[in-house]
Amino acid sequence: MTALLETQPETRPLTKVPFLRFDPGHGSRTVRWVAPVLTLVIVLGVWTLVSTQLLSPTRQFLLPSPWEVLEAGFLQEAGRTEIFTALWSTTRIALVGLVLAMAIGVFFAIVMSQARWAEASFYPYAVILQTIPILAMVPLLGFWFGYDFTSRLVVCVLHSLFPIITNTMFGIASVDDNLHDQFSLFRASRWQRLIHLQLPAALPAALAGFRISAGMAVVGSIIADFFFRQGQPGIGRLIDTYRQSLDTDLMMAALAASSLVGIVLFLLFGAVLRTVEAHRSPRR
Amino acid sequence: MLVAGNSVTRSFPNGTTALAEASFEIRAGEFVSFVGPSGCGKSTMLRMVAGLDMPTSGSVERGDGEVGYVFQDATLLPWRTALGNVVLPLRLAGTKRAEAEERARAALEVVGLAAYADHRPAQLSGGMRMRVSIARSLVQRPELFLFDEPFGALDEITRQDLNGQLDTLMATDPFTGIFVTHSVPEAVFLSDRVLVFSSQPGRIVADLRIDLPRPRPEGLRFSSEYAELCRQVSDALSDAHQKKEAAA
Repeated sequence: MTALLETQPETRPLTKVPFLRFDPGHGSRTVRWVAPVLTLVIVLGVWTLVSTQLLSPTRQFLLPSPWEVLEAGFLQEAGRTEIFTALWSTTRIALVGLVLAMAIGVFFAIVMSQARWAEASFYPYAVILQTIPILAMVPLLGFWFGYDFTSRLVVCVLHSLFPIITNTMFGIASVDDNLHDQFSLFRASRWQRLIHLQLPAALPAALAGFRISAGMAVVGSIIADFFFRQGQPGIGRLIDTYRQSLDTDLMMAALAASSLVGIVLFLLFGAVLRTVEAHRSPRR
Repeated sequence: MLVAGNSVTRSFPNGTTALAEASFEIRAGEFVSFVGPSGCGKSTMLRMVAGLDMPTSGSVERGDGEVGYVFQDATLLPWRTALGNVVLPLRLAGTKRAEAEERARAALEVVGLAAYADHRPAQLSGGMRMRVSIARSLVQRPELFLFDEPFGALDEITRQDLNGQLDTLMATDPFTGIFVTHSVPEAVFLSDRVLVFSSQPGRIVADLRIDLPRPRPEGLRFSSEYAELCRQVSDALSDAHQKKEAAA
């Protein structure tokens, strides 16, 4: 075995050390902006081609070109007013519903995190609630709460509640054991532990939950529009009206507008979350 | 404050016995280190002194008074500033904000971090975070100070620096201390007595007195006296280790 360790005169030439590190490929800032824009341009291009070249004039109403959608829904005063009035009605319900869901969700997460019996009593039903399709509950909710604002709000809350509960519970449960011990040594009361340790520690996870739920609240609000038709019309009901009158261009414009609120809310909560996380972790 | 362990046994549900019939006594004002291999139950003993764990049989007793506990990591709240963290135990105990902040600033002064009161933990180095953690215990004016390998994760220079600061602290304002560590030189530098633990099951196999002047003189780490004491502790440790190997 000594031969292994024997030194021999080195005759091979030196070569540059290759760079081996795996690059997961986030790409440059330019790539991150240019790539999605490029995708959009291609999609719009194909869409225009299909609409103007492939479809016969009698069937073109099935897929109006992007330009027609933009024109009918956003550039012409009539379409724009109609869509944005309806969008505001939907948004209002989504926002009120989201705030309610946040309050109810955080409350139940706190209650369940404080006592094993509370978790055992409520959590299974929160899961079951999650598995009932919201559409299946619509007729019942109509009987109970009428066909107006209240029912739309209930659908919205039910639809967005679950991620808030689970994320907040996860955040509260993720507190470091040593920090819990430290609070025990401080002789902190249950209330002090909740206010000064568990809730601040759960904030990032709760915010991530709010971000998911924000999109779900908007979807819930639009679904509710379809079924609860009394009161001010929302974007869901408007889409249905356009369907009946075969106004596909307006329908697609309304669809695009309806995603707007979800996007704005998602970005908003994302920004808050990033701020909180940057505040707590070391700068890179 | 006086601390005593009487035939302390601690076994865990999985069948391991962390401590078996361990007894010791610590007098008021004494600084004692627990050294021993991993899994010898020294941290478990410390947690029992703090009230964070319970012996399976035997008892752990201590006199009345405030207890400070410093964990291996700084266990600071990342959303609070250094001052906010140090103020916390006082505020939880109902001290008025003005008085609590005054005392917290004084404690940060003691560990040399007065200028960093408004920094968040993420903006501080590992050594600084540990000093904030020590200040947070100091602010409670503890009579008994418990340390669970507090400097284990720090680099050697920072560690020696903090050892020196702790020594100064003891010389100026004496308290009873228990210090759990893996490092023989650290134990000898800091302690009046070193208790050596054997592992699986943990027992106390040696009780060595360290007679060195306090505050520790400059250059002590390079003296033959210090080296001899380190050798004695090391020997006791390897004895314990060999007995365990022989038994296995």
